[in-house]
Amino acid sequence: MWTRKAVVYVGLGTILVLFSPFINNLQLFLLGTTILGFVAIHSLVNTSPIDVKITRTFDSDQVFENSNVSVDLIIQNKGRSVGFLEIYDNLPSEVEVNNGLNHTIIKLRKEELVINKYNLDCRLRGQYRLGNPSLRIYNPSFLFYYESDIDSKSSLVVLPQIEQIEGVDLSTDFPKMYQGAMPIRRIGTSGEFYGIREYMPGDDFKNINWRVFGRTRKLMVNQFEREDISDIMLVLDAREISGTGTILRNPLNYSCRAAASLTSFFLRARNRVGLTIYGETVNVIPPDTGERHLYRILTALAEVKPTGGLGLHTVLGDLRNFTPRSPVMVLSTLESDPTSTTALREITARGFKLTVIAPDTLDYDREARIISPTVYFTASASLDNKITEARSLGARAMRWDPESVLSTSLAEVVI
Amino acid sequence: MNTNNSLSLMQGIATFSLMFSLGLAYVINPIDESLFFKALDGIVSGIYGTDVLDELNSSAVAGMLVGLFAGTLFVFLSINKKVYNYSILILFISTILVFLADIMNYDSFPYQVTQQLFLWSWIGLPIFIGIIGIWQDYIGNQIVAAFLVLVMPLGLSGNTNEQIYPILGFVFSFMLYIELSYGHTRYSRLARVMYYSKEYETVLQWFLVTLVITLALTTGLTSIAFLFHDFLSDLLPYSFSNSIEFNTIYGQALSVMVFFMIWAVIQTLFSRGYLARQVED
Repeated sequence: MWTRKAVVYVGLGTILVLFSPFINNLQLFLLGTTILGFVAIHSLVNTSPIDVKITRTFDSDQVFENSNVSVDLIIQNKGRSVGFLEIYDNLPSEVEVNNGLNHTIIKLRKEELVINKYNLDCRLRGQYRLGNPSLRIYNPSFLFYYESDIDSKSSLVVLPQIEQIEGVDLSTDFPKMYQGAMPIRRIGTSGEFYGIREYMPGDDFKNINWRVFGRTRKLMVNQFEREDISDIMLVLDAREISGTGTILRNPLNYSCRAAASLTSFFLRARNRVGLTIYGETVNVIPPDTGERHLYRILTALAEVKPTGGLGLHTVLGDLRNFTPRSPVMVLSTLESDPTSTTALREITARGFKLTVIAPDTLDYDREARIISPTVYFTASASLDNKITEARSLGARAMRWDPESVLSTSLAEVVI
Repeated sequence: MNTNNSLSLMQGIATFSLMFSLGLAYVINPIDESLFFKALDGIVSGIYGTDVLDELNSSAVAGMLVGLFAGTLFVFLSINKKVYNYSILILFISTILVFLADIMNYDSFPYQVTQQLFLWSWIGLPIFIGIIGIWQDYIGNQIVAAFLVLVMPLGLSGNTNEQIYPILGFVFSFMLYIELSYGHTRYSRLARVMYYSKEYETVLQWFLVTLVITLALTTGLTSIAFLFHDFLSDLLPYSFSNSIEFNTIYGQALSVMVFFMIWAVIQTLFSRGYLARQVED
């Protein structure tokens, strides 16, 4: 491609060559010829095709919200030497570069490998696609350029932030004592393998995992599950209305953070945790336990988008198979959901220990002038009514200000 | 050498190239033959009844030094906006006072001195504008300065092969000025974005080395373009190659255009991009 400078040069050179004879001016004639010659020479410099391979690596496999990830953009020259190569790594708008740049200009010799490092600030959960990088080759005097995209895409999953919850008893009053109990895993001495942990003095030698020791030179012991505690089902509202607010501050994002924190908390206590997401469809992750299950739930939470308008009643069918008297935690503002009252009544009637956590972003929305004061008061009153209604059904219900610590807020409703 | 040094070097060479090209332009085209200064002389003679070019010192070197001084002063003043504003105000008031003094026949400031300064200012105008363009990265100023360097010394008497060395010097320094000043603007803009890049300095050095090499190659290609005229005269019929038109600068101009047209056609036919397009078609 020709730049404007090249067009001006050729135009000026031609004019000078053709005009100078009229005033018998050798100076302008020579200048015009030189300018044309300069463009002709430059049409051969740094303009032939290149062969560059670009890959991307991250310093961490698991990236959480509000954390940084370091990206190495590995640029490998497989072809001729390139004097001026401009590289722009295309990034999704949800991530921000906070150290280094995703835009660089380099000179590449044959077979040279250059690593461009930059840090991404991942402020929002989600599954993102990075790439393809755009390349631009200029010739040194900016007379010609070539642009192309290199096929190099990477997937980055930003998991919701996990807040430590401590000192709050959210489990059931009825641990695995009834007939037909489904196994609720906990470390014990049964034959089911649960996981491994580091050896501690007093552990039985027969539980040492010698294979792991052989591999890592660390003493690790096998843990086995024991059946005696509860299942917990988290119900997440992912309707379109839950995305109201800013891209970072909306009920859905806060619900996801709360769900991630609660999942981590319950799994650490060896409970089985399930997740039901309703919005456009109902997605159910059956209760399970272990580290792998935690990341299954976190990945599902990372991918949640506010779409659809299904009501809370749509999850009732799936809850029917869930262990009665176990805790069910609904993460929703219940806003604009005419089925919520019936659904909450149905859940409590079936004996589930219901907790409703309603992330309240109304104050922020009013201060940021996203909603008018009238809308604020109406929505606030409506939310209060929903909370009161849930409490009247025997549920533990709370308006959660996302700026406050979740466990502190929970402690107020959990007696 | 770090990036800032390379960029400053480019500015320095561009400034000297600009001065050199203007100086050589006046060597090739004497100032008293310049259409521009003849027009200026005519206007001043009409108004004041004095002949500027004959009565005043029309030294190109002095004019260039005035331009260099004014341009440098302007760049330094621009660093501080407040000082710049006050300086412009003082300059404006001084100019008005000089005119008022002239109208009221109050000769506190010698009239000839101001006229001399104005003449030198005109001569140094391309330097003044060019320096601002180079050191403050204004592409508009760089273009205007280049235009003035070409146009201001231009006369009707023309020039011939006898002045070939000053002409070659002019062409080389003019190209250096344009390339380095524009290159500095582009590369410094990129340097602001790429400040962290260790690789950037190598790109700059590559630019400077390539510029020198390509200018040398351009000289060779220009010589070939000129020799092509002789080659063409051998090919063309005797009556054509011996015609008056063909053996003047008109004929040379046409030969040069034919040379570059052939170059363009060959490059289009044999470029890899063209071959790739042929395959796609």
